[in-house]
Amino acid sequence: MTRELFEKKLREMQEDVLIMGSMVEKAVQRSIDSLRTRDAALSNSVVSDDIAINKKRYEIEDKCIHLIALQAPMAADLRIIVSILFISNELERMADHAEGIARINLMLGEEALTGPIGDIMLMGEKGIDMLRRSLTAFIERDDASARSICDEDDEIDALYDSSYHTLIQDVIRTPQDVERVTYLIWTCHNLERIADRVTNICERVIFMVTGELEEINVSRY
Amino acid sequence: MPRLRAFVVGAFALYIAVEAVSLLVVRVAGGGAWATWIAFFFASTVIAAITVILFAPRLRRIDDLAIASRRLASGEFDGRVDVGDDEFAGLASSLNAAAESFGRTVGALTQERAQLEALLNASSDATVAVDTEGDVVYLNDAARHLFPTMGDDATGRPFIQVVRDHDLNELVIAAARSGERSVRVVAYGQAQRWLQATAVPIEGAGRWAALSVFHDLTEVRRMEGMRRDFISNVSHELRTPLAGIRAAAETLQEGALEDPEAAQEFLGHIQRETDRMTQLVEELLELSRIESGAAPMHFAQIDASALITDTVRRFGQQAERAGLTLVADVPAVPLSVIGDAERLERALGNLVANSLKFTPSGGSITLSANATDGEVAISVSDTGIGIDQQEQGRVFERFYKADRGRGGAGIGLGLAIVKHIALAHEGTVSVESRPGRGSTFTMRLPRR
Repeated sequence: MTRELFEKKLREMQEDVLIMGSMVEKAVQRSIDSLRTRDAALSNSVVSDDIAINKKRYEIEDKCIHLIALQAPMAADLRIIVSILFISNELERMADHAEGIARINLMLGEEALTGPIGDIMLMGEKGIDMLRRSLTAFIERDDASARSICDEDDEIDALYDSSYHTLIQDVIRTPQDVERVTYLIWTCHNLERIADRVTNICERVIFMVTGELEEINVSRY
Repeated sequence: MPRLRAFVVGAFALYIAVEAVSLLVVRVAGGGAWATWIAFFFASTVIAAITVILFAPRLRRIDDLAIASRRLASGEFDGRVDVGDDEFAGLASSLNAAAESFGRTVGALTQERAQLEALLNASSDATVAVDTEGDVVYLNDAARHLFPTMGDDATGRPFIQVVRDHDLNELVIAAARSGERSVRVVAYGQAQRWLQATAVPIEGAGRWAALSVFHDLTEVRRMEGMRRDFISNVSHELRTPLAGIRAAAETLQEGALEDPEAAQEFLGHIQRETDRMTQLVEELLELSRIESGAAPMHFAQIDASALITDTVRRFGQQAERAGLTLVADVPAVPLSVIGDAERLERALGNLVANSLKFTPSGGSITLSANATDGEVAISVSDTGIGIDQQEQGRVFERFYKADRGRGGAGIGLGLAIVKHIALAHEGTVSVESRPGRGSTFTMRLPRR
């Protein structure tokens, strides 16, 4: 395999990461939208589309292993391939969280939400924005911006705290709502995990650029 | 033809005459072999000098022509060479003709390119061209605006890096690599814009392997949605009271008429439902009148503070029944503003009625007015359930109900009327809200 061909494969794999990133962004967006509009059909499509995301992840994994086996890449090249392997894994797990939210909407069935879900929407949108920028940092090999995205996880944690407290207050006030409120707490937890996984991606970007593995801004959850 | 002649006179003397050119004869006199060399040296110097003198102008001409053709090759078509009347005249005039024709062609192409570029940039549809690898080779202004991820740095990058949407990427790559032509509508980005994407393969356009056009359907879809909602809302709002009237009439027919007490009750029911329908129709008409500008406005000098205290008085009892505190927070001095008193009363009344509906018992509603240099801001602030961020932009739409579960009583026209009254005053209305904490609606009217 010539260097040229190797570069081409590497480029293709990075494009695959962006394609998968877009699939995950849409899954998260549609899962929270389905909860907001109580749209069961949309939730079902998030659940069924998860299969394509899993498939993409295996495809990327396969390409990575292939390239490592055939090319025995070293140093920076190897770091890129290993990072792609890890990032695709994180993306796949994020999609599982989105699927979880869609399933929560399905489990709620005909029951109304216990209150406005503005903070939940905000957490989701913030998470999607962080995800998009983390992959831009990956493409641009921008470890500085990867670091600053990690810091933004605090905002998600703060939103999680305030939602959690509001929801707990709701249960105390109206104990009969406990099941419906629990579903919303699960939703918040899923969104909090999604943002955490963005910070994992950022750590991989920093590793790819600097060769240093460091844990940045450990989440409180 | 130069000729060389030598005459030997005696043993040591030598005369050499070189006739380099028929006009010139060089004579050197000397003795021995060195004299021969000197003679040759002088003769060749003279010949070289004559050659230089004779050919220099021609060399300069060749040089000029070479420079001119180099300029032509590098794309400078303005310069011309002197044609002259020597043997190079033909070459020079062809070069000039070539420069002129190239200049014209390139000028026409540049113009055409600028026209096409202007055409593409004037279009509100984002247009992107990619090569066979899927790398962006061209994007117009609308595309730069729609896909800002990579800024001005987009050309030369893979399309997925620029668009960051796998659905759109798939469409464009299929056109570039497999020559598939397709159209799809995709929800794009976090703002969820509806884009109709068309990707077509192109041939014979150099690096341009596929062209894709993205037409924004968001506004069209929104309008369609509003029209659908409007029709279904009006039908729904009319059907409910009509069903009530029908039921009451049937009951009367089936014998309730014989029972005066029951008859009274059902007639009252019919009257209430009719009132509700009348109110709906009136509000619809009022909205359409204000919106179209057909309703005459009666502008006069009015006092915003008085308007607020009057409204608080008007809704006092209603607030008390709902267990709410309704207060006016206005400066002691009159706040004069030019407006239509009746319409502003109606707008403020609608805002207070809304707050009453969405504020749980024990809460409070505050009406306040503030004046700045150019405007008076009238606010209605409550401690109610609030409005989700996503809903805030839509609450002023006709029939839009942010929380369908809770606000069942209203028709959904109140805030639309407020908005149009504010607009008729060349003012604005806005909302700030935090879910669970409350909302503040503010009308800003110019003082003029």
